[in-house]
Amino acid sequence: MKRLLAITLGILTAIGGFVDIGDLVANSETGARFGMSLAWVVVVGVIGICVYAEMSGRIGAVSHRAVFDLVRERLGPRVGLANLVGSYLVTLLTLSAEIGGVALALELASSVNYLLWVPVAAFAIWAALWRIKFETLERVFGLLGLCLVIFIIALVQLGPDWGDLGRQAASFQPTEGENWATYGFFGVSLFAAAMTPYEVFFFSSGAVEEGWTRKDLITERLNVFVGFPLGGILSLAVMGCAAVTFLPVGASVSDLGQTALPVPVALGRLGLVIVILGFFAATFGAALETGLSAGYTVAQYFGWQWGKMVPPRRAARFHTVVLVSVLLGLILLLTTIDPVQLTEYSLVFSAVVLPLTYLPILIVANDRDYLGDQVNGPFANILGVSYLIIIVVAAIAAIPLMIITGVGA
Amino acid sequence: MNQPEPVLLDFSLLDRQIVDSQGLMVGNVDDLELAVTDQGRLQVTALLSGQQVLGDRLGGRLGRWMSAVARRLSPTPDPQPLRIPYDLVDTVGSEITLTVAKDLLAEPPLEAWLRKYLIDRIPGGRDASQ
Amino acid sequence: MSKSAALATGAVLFVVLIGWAAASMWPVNASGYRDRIVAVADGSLSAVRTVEILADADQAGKVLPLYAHSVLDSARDHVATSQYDLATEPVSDADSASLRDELAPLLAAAATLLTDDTALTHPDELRQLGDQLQSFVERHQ
Repeated sequence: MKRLLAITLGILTAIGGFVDIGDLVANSETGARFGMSLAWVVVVGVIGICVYAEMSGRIGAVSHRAVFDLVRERLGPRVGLANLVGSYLVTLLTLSAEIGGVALALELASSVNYLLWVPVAAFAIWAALWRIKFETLERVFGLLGLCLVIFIIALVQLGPDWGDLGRQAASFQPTEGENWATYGFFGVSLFAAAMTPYEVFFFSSGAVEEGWTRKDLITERLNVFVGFPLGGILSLAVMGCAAVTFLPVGASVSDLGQTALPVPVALGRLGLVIVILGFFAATFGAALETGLSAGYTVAQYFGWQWGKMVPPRRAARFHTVVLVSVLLGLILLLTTIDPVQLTEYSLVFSAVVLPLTYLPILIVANDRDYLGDQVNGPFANILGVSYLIIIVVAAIAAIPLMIITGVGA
Repeated sequence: MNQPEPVLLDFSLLDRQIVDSQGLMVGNVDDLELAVTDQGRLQVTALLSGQQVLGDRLGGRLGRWMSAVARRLSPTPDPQPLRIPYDLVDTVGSEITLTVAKDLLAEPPLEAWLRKYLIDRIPGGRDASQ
Repeated sequence: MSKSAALATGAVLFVVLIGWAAASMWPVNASGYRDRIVAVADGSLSAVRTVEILADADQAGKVLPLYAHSVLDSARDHVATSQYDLATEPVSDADSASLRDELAPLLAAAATLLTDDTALTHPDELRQLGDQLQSFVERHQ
């Protein structure tokens, strides 16, 4: 019974934890401009993150070492350093975007300008990382993030023409008024939102933090293969709500208030409260994860003691990196850059860094020294390599598409 | 002291994580201290860990920059790397396990400095999380 | 990376950046202006439509005042940006001038509607203005 509870909690946490500010922004912007015609990218992305998260969780559980830890060993200190710089900078950018997301959610709830919330949010995030147990953080914010299920309920309540949505999803081409460049740009952004780099660092480090072993592999796989796809369905619901509400009237989405709007339209004030709570939980949880990931990448490269499993004074360098990262994220937001725009940039640069993140995972997952008999089977490798090709294509296309479309204008 | 089999330096020792007897992380093997035995063979006498030695080992502009930053960030004027004599090594596997606890080794100066002047000054740094 | 390779990469990046900056500052010809104008109109269209949807929901008691205030604030920002963009884009020919003359009053109407403190009680006026903006965008796309 206890085991069933643990598994359920794990799945629920994965669903709630899957969606972050990048998913919210990318899915609603895409839905408003392209309807469901880019839905296939979300499906492709979810499969990809499942394949790689399973690998990185397996690495953490079997070798008791986190993925980034192993990058330097396997690929050498120079490649490891290049990986570190790229991964850390993108994680920092994402952290900043998530803090911005928290501030935006608070603005929606209070009508107080988001800039005033930014320092509050940053402090709260740091304080939670400082004091609250890892498991508690995961559970609380993962479960609260389930509030976003309201999007599925709202979509059904809006009573869309499902056949129409299906036709859009199967059309695989830009909608009227859009071209292939913007289609490609939003496709890459959606893909990057589904396969966010910090997710895998976090997952394998989390496996080590929670002391997973081989026995936990089944739980780990359930979390990934059930939780993430359900999270993907949440993303598609966000896209669908935007498609039904904004596409027919020619409006495009550019802020979080618009992203939320379909929900009160369908479900009234209670729906509105739930969706704002969901935004808060999803972005706060993601900020916690990216903050930790920023610390993990640096500490694991240099071999420093990392993690929340020891008191902070025993991992001073790790906690300093986390603190400095949150501060840098805060400073970036205080330049008054639009948080939604910041999110869009973080997605593009995430796409560029994806190969750096995922190639080492594939290599380590095939290494018998670390995983013994739990190395990748042929099926996992076929999927892994196929996705690596897709990832490289997305990485190469990302910046040119950003320039050509003027960040999706 | 156990007699290890001939160990491939490049694959088995360098860049590996060093953990102490209780599983706490000590550092990475950033470089090795070698000595020539009487028979004229090379023997590993100690593991070296520290950002400055890593920078020196990486070489090139990147390595020099890393060493310079490490020196700048160090509270002592002439930072020495953490030197772990090879006879403290218990097993060499996916990580290198030592026979001793972390407290018996010298603490990296940056860690000590940050702990004293930053982390300990923030309330709640002494206990494990709630 | 060797010194010459680093220099070469730096040079390429520099050229790309200069090119990008130059391209965005180049004076626009007629079709370029039309694209810009349509983008400007698009921005205001989104704002007006959003407030229209919000107003409908507000009339039905479906939204909370603080949230409505946030969304309305955002929409006003977007319309203000559109007006700014329109005012800072010089026209070079008669066609562009007629586009500007067609859009300017629509933007002014949007600004007036949204800054009224009764903005949310006029969903029909918002709808009408939205339709006008949408037809503008569709005609000139």
